[in-house]
Amino acid sequence: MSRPALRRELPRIEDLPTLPRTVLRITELINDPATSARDLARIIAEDQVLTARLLKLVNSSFYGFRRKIATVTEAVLMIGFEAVRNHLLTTSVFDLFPSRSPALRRGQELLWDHSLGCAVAAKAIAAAMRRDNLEEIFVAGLLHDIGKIVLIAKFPAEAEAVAARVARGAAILEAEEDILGCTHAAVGRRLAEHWNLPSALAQAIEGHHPPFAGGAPDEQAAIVHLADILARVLELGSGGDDRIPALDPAAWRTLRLSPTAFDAILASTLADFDDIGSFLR
Amino acid sequence: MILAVDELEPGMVLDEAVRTHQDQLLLEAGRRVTERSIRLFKTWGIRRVAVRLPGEKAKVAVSQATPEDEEGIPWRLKDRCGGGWDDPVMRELLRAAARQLRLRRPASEG
Repeated sequence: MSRPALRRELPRIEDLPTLPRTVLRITELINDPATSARDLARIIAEDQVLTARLLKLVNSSFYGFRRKIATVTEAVLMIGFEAVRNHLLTTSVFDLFPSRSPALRRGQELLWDHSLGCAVAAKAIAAAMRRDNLEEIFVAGLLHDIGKIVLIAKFPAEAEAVAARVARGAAILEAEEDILGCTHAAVGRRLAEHWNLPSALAQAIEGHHPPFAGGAPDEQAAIVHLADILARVLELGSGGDDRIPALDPAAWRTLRLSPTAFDAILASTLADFDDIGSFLR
Repeated sequence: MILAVDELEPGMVLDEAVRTHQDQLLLEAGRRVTERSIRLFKTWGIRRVAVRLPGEKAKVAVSQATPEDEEGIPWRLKDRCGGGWDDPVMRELLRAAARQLRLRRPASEG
């Protein structure tokens, strides 16, 4: 397939996977200010799998509530609408890309672990920065490479060629432009918009690789950039290649963190990864 | 002495084994570098290699026991950074990661 043909094909919205109807419905409900916790709980409760996942999550040490949460309504009230949406997204997104080839499936599993590692690292960084939108940042980390999943599923041979070139030291966005005619960052943004996710999230997905537009990344993109490095350093899954990218100086300045925070951030990343991974997988 | 792959010359002796990022052995410590092995290192994306200069004592025994540099950063991690570990913040990060990974290992193996 020639590159210009690929460029025309990728933007087609109907090629992109759709979220399960329940999750879409929940996203719509959450965007509507008139929605109550009871409305939301009713939709979730219709889906046994989502219900089980949500209750398991709120009762895990990830939240650390002292008493047991037994109903969906209570879970929604305890963790909030945004968190519910984010966690349902988390557990649904990776079901969307089934792969029949065992080799591809293995790659997807490793990428899933990398995404989860990046999500818990992003949350740990944001906590060290004393931010309160931890859920949103978790999802930004989780979905930062969603474009890669699309590219691997649709163009496995080309995606492998990109990974090989990156392993030899090429910058990923350049290698993707060159081989695929588009980048996983751009595809990810398109997907986020297609799913009506918040625009800050779409921006973090598009902008997590240097060079950053305008020279400096916004805060979420900077967090995801560092979280990507942490997940790779801790060897949580694989982002498709083994490289640990250099920390971008502009991103580091944006975060205003001290290197003394690394131990706590890394420890919390490892603990959360083991904990949350055990019930998401 | 650590050299970039571009600085290697045939005939130099490896001070440490060279492994791929997947931990596959390319060339053992003590072996001489050849044109062919330099090409092989480049193909595998190896960036830096420890070599022994003429007259320098072998440190093979030490490096095999502790595959870490003098600051406690595993070579396995440094190799994957390209030149990125020259940055002081990255070095702090790698040191902290090495500490945390050491703490985690007994728990995950047990």
